[in-house]
Amino acid sequence: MRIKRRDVLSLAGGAAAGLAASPLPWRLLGDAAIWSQNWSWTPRVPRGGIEEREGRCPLCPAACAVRLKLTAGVVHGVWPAGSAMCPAGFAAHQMAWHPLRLRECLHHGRPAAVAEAVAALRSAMERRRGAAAVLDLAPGRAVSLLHRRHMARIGGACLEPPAIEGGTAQAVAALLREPAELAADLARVRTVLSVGTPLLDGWAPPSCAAQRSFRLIQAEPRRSRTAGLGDEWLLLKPGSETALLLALGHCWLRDLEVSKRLEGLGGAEGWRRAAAAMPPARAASITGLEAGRIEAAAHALLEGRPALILADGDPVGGPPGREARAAAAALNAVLGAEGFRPRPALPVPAGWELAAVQKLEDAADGSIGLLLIDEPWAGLSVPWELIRKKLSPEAVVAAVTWNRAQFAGKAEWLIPAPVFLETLLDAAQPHDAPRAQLAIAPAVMPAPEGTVEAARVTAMLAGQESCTEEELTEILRAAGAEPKNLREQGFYWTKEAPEEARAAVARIAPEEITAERWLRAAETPAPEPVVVAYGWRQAAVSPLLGKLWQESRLREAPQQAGLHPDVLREQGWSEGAQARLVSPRGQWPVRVAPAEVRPEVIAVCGGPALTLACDVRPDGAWTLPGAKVVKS
Amino acid sequence: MRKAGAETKTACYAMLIDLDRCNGCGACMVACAVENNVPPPQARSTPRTGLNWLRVFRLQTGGRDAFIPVMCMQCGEETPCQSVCPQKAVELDPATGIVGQIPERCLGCRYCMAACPYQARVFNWQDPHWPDGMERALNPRVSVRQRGTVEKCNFCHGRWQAAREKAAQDGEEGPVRYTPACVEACPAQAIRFGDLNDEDFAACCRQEGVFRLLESLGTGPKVFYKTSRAEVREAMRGFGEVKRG
Repeated sequence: MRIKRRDVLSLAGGAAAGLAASPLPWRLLGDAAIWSQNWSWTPRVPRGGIEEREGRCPLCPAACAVRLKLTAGVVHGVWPAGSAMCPAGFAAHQMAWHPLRLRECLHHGRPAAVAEAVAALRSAMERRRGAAAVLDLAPGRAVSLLHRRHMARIGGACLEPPAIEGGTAQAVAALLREPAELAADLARVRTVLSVGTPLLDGWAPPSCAAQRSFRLIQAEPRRSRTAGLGDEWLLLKPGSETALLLALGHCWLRDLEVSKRLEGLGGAEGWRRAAAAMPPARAASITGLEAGRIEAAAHALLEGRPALILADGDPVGGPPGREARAAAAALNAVLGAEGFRPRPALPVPAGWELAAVQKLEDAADGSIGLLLIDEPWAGLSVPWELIRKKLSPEAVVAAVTWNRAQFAGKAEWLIPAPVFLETLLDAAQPHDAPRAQLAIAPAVMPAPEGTVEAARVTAMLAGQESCTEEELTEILRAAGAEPKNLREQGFYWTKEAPEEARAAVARIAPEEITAERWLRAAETPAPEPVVVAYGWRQAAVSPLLGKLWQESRLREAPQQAGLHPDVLREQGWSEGAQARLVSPRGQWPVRVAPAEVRPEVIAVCGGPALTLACDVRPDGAWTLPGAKVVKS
Repeated sequence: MRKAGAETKTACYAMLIDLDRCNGCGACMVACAVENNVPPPQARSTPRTGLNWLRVFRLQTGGRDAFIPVMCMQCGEETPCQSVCPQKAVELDPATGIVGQIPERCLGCRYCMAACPYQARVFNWQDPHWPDGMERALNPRVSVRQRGTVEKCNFCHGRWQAAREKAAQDGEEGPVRYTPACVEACPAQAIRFGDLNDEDFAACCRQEGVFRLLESLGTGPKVFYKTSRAEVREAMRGFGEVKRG
C-alpha cells in the first residue's frame, strides 16, 4: 500500500483530535501544576515539631503577654496569651529579617569591627571635647537604668527625646506639690478630650478601642483613626489647640466649684486672665469650630467627670507647642489632675549610682562631644536638628541601631543591635495606667554575629565587663523577684499604684507661661499650607504590615499626602497620583489621596525619616516649614 | 451545652462577626497572613493584585466609622466557585462545611474569582517572595502557594488539621473544636467561630440584627454579621458595589 500525503495528514489530524479527547493533555496540565509547586525558588516551610514559649512583646508600653511558636529554634508566630495584641505584634518576630536590618558595623558607610567602634568611642571620650551622653530613644526601660548606671561611672549624661506619649502627664507632674511621675488612669475616667493624640491607634493598649468605658472627644485637623472611632470629632484649624483649650477654661470659669478650686493655686491669675480673654466666640474664629460645639465640649467634660485632657501629640508629627500642652495641663490641674495618678518608681538595686535623666532639648547647645544613640526597635526618631544643635564641633556620634537607614549619613558609626527575641529587650513604662512594670522579653533566637546591645556598649565605655543579664537580674531582685532563667523565659513584674494615691496640685501653670504668652500662642495662625505629619510608630516593624495599606486601604500608606477633595480637584490630581513633598529639608515622593482635612492642610503620613527631617519651632513643636506638594 | 456536632459527627463551621466591636485595627489581616504563609506585599502589588485572604473594609456612615471584615463566605449551597472550577480544585468538605482550595490542582484560570460574588479570592500574580532569611519563619503547617494559583480563606485548615490530629491522639471522636487565626487575633473579640450544629452558636447566628452578605443570591454563606446600627446594615445592602481597590 502506498502512503500518500493525504494519509499522513489524516493520521496527524486524527491523532491530534483523539489526543485532545483523551485524558492525556489534562493529565499533563494537572501534573505540570503539581510540578510547578516544587520550583527551586519556591520557599520551603521549615520542618520539625512546634514548641511554645511564653513571653512579652516589648515594642510598646502595653507589653502584651505573648505565646511564641518555634520550630527548629526559629520563632514563626507570636500569638496573644490571654491578652489583646496589635497587628505589629503578630509580625514582630519578622523584624529579625527586615530588609532594612543593619547586619554589620559601619564607619561612614564602610564595614568595620564593633571593637574598632568601641575603641574610637573611648578615644573620643578621652579627648574630652565635650560630655559623653546616651540618647535613649525608648526611655523608661530597665535597660535605661543600666545606661544611667554606666554613664554615672564616667560622668556622662542620659538624655531623653522630647516626650510625646506621656507628655501631658509630665506637664501635669511639673505642677504637683511633690514632684512625682504621673500616668493617665484611663480605667477610671469617664470623659477624655484628646487633642491630636492617637489615643485609639497605638497610644493606649490594643483592647482599649473596643473596650473603652469613657466618652472620647477627639480634636484635630484631620479625621484620624481615633477621630473616626471616637464619640465626637472637633475639626480644628492646625495650630489652634491653645485657643480651644483656653476657651474650654473660659466656659469652666462660670462653674462655682472650678472658681473655688483656683483659689490658692500658683499661676491661677495668669491662666484665669488668658481663659477670660478667650470666650468661645473668639475661639470659634481661631479654631474654625462653632462656638456652641466648644461650649458643649466644655460642658461634657465638666459633667462627665472624672475627665482627662490629653495633648500628647503624634509619634511622627511630634509634640504640640509648649503653650498648648501647658493649657491642657492647666485644665487637668483645674480638675485636680483627677485623670492622672502617681506611678510607683522602678526598683533600683542598693548601691547603684544613676546619672540624672535630662531632656534632650534642655541640654546646652554644643555641649556633647560623644553621643551614643540607642534605637532598640522600629519607629523611634527625633528631629536631627534637635540633636545637631547639642553637638560640639568635633563630636562623635554613634548609633546602636537595628536598621541601616535612619541614622545613615548622620552618625559616624552605625553599630548593629540585636532585635526582639534575639536579646533581652524590655518595654517602657505604660502611660495609660498608673503602674510600674518590668516586662522583659526572652531571647529565644541566637543574635547574629557582630550585633551588640546598647547597654553593653555603654558598659564597655564605662570600663565594665559586659553583664547585661546579671544587671537586669539585680534590678528584678530589687523588685523582690527571683528570675530563674531570664534569657530563656523573660520576666514580667508589675506594681500597681495604691488605691489612695492621688496627685496634689500646687500650680495651674508653669511660671514662665504668662497670660500674654498664652494668648499670643492662641492667636498666631499657622502659615498655610500647613503640613500635619502623622504616622503609626509600629508601621516599620515588618514589611508584612504593608498588607494594611498597600494591599488594602485600611490604613493610610506611609508617604501618602492627604488633601481636601476640592484641592485635589483644583490641582487636577487623581487619587493615587504621584507627587513630591518639597521642603527646604528635602523632598519625598508621595501619593496624593483625598482626605477629610481642612482645605489648607496637607496631612502627610510618614515614618521616622520624616521626623528626622523636621525642624523644631521655638515652642518645641516639630514642623516642616515651607513644605508643599508639587506634581512629580 | 453539648459538644459541637457530637451527635451529627460532622460540623458546619461558621463565623459570627460583631461589627459594633470591630475597630478596624487589622490584627486579623496580619495574623491571617502570618498563619497562612501569605507573603508580604511586593513592590507593584495593589489592593487589586495583592494577596489578602481577609480584608477589612472601612465604612464611613457619617457617625462613628464601621469596619467590615470580608473573607471567603464558605458558601454552603450552589457554591459558585466550586461549580465553575474545571480542575476540581475547589471542594466543599461535607464533614466541616469548609470550601477548600487545592493549589496543586489549580491551573490559574480564575473562573472561580469571576464567579465569587464576594471577591474573596486572590490570585498569585507573582512568585511568593519573603525578604532573605524570613522563609525560616514560615508556619510549618501550611505550604507555600506557587505563582499562577488562586487562594482564599479556608478557616485556617492547618489549625483544623492540627486539632484533628490532637483529637485523634486523645481518642476523641466527632468534630473538633479549634480557633482560626483571625478569631484568636482579634483584640476586640469581635469574631466568634463555632459550629452551626451547636444549638447555642446557631441561636446566636439567628438573633435579631444578624445578617449575611448578598443573602438573596442563595449561596448559603457561613459568615454572619451582627450590628445594632441600622445605617451600617443599610450600607451593607450595597456590598456588591464595593469593588476591590
